[in-house]
Amino acid sequence: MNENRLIPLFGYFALLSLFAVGGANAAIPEMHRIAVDVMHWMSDRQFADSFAIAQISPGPNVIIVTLIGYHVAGLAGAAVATVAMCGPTCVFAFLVARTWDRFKEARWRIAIQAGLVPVSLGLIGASAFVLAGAQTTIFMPL
Amino acid sequence: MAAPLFRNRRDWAPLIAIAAFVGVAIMQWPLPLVFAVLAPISIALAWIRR
Repeated sequence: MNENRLIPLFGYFALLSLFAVGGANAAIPEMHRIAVDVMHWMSDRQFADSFAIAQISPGPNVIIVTLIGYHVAGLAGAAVATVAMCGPTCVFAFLVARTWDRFKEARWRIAIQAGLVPVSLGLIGASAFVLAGAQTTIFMPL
Repeated sequence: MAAPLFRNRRDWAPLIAIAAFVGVAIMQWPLPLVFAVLAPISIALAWIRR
């Protein structure tokens, strides 16, 4: 059963890693959409708990991906999700960093950086909204 | 965090941020789709308005 979950887990997080401009927190809404709404891997409460644990744990915020992977398919899921989230971006960053500094004053580089800032801001705001929604779901029965 | 957007008079930037927020949080569209639409527009506006 785990093998059936590992492939989509890897696919989703590998794709997501390339769009997580603004850090892991900018990708929270998509993680929530996939894990809770689309694949039904976990509940709103479990997702919110995973986020809370990721935030209070020392280390990078991307730990939430490991927790989701662990919840979905145990240790193998944790490893697969972490590699999928970090691997493609590491390779991409390695390749881009070699040429990025060379074009420090280039107009296209400045436009890319300036253009991605508002998108990141919107995504981080969306993360807060989605997490607040998950919390509301948790506290509604009270 | 958003203050530099206004200080630098990038009048289009708040609109892009709001569009990203609405698309992902309210409409719950897939992030890759929203990103693929908004990022090129935002970069093009940054290129033109600079």
